[in-house]
Amino acid sequence: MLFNSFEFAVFLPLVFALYWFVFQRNFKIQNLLLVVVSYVFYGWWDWRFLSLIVISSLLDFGIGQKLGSATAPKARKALLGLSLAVNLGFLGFFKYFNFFVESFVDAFATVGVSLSPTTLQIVLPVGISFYTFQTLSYTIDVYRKELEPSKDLVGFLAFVSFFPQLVAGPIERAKNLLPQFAKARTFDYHQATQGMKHILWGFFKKVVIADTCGIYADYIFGHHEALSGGSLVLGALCFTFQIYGDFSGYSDIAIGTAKLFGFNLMTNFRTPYFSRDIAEFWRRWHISLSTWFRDYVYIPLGGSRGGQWGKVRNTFIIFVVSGFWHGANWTFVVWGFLNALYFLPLLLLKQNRKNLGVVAEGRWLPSVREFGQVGLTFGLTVFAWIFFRAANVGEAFSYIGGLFSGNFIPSYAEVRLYAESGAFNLALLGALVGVLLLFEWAQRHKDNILDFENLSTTVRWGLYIFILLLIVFFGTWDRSTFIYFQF
Amino acid sequence: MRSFLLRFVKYALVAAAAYALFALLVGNLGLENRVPNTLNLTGEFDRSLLRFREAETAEPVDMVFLGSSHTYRGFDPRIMADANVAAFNLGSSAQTPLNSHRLLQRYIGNLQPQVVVLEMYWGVFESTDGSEASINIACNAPASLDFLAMTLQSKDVRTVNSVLTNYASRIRFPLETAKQIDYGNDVYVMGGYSETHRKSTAAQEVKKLKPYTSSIAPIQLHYLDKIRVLCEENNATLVLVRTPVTTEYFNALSNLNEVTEPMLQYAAAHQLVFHDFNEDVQQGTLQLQTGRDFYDKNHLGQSGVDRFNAHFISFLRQHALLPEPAAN
Repeated sequence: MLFNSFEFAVFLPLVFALYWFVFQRNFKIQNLLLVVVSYVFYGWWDWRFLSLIVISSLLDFGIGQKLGSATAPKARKALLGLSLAVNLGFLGFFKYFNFFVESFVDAFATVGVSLSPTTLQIVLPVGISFYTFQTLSYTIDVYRKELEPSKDLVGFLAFVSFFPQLVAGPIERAKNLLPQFAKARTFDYHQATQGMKHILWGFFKKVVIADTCGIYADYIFGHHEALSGGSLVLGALCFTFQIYGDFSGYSDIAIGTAKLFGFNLMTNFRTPYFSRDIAEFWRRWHISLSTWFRDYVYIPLGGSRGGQWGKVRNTFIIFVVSGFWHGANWTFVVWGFLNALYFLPLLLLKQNRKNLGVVAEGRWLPSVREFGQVGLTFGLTVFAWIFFRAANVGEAFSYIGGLFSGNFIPSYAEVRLYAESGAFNLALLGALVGVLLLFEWAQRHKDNILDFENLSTTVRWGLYIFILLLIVFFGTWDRSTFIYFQF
Repeated sequence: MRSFLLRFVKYALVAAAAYALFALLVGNLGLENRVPNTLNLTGEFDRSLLRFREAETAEPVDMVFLGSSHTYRGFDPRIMADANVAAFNLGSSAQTPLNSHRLLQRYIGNLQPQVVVLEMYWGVFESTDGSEASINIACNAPASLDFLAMTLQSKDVRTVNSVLTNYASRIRFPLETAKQIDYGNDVYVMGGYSETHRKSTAAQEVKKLKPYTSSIAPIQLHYLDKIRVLCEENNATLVLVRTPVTTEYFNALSNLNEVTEPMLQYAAAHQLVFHDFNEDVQQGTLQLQTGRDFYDKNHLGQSGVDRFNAHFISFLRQHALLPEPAAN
């Protein structure tokens, strides 16, 4: 079930009513309701994959219980190993099996050996990368004795399957979310209104920005060989805003929906395109994933401790694995590698924690230096996104070659194409992206962009209505799926 | 909770008022085609404006045609009249059974046909909401709750916006004064037909054809049944047909059986006639040529309409489906 669908528009109020008006007296019954509706939500795509999420949940709940009583280090390691093996095994099989087979074949083909392996028609379960990491955070934290094992199976099932963030994050930590299922939730007016604002802004980013930019991005990437360099720049920019709008939009809707039920999820994006360097970008982009890798991979590998070689090695491992997490394609590995190259100089020069605050804090305009820093960081990320979007590495390099081919000015035919692109035109798209950037710049110090507590009610409502009308009249409603569902 | 719900309701009301105001502005300033999620199809190329305007005051006829562009470009009332059949063509662009049902509901009362011919082009059966035709019909026909309901049924934002802004625009631009846009290549013929004068591109188009598949949305079969029931209630015989397309386009459909078998089964189950005139072309009993008789890969030109309609009348005669002439 998609957030931007009629079904969800019916589902959400119904669940809200049941949760707060029928089952409000007992939080355990509320948890059971959340499990049921979350499985319905997930099963709406494909009920067959419910078994995977149930198996993962039951396995890790059991392992958590055993870890609670096991004292021998070997036994504890074995239990953790079992959780990792099964969860990552599922993930590896469903997501990466064909990739490895095909890469294996390609590798042999380069030395003239032809193989005829079997690839399988494997359907990728929606959200497997997300809920797998979420449930692993539980077993790892229990193993580390940073979290007590849950004794409440229903609460645990609800934690793993919680529908607002089940299929595309934020990847919640057990330490943050699980305790929220273990206590009663009371309806909080402020929390619920914050939730509605998150949802509204999330829909704006998804339906108005992401899906509209996606139309141009898809066309340009699909026809890049025949287009000018100027169009290719446009395509890269469109994808840059598409992926941001899509992913952060989903996160906002997830966070907002969770708030309606009395839950607080972690912030996943903090205006990343206003970052002054790549290190800051990675503290602001997909925060739940980057912190997951930091805490469960980077730090156990040694993190920034040890010599320069250790730092370099760990940095590359983290970025490449993070890239690979996004999909079974070498383009994601290259994208991760590129980001590692961007990050490394900052790390080695100890400049990676320089920009911890918000750009132009307390000021309306950035300084020239800050503007330059933001521009450079933005440019580097746009360039890297080309690899993320391309169908394969060859296409990415072909695209980049097109940028520098010398044929930069769009032809008359290209300009006409953009001018005649349905009822939409570039100027309008530019204006809408401008609205996005204006709102996010003005509110860059907030986690909730539409949190205008200093403005009068009239002005606030006027802004909310303005955003709503943009969604209804300027949104692209026939491009349904969210990009990150494929992960 | 109470404050939150009250606030939510208040906000919803303010939002609805803002929406209505915006729709009024967009509609009355003629900005529908500049706002991405609204579309104004009043007076557009399929001549539905003239068609529905005529249908509102038309006298009873013997036969009514429903369906997509294959219908309003495929059945010529003048040729029907030569065979003593008074006919009205209610076809419109991309019209699906979901839309046909609403149109028939509105016009069966004054048209009182003995025979209703529903064109069953597989392409329109793919549609799960008939949204394109809903916008077209609502923009060109008098405002009605039925058409508004058809629009809302689509659950499509663009469709709903388009129709509401169009209705709002009638404050300044009443439908009665709307003008048919003259594209210069088609002529509206009384009785709902669009005669084309376009230069044929069929021969070039069929060279670029690739195999394709189609599908049937269950909702369209549901509305097919509702059309059948409506016909029965009004003592009209329902006839299901497929008008001819170019042989190349017909042959490029790689799952013809999949999109035909359900129709055959439905027709058999309800003792209805279902006839695909493409089969007649394949068998040589209907002589149509791509370059001569079609103006594009799937629409008949006037030469093709002449041949096809003559053949269609013979078909009706053979199956005793020619209506008795309507009493004057």
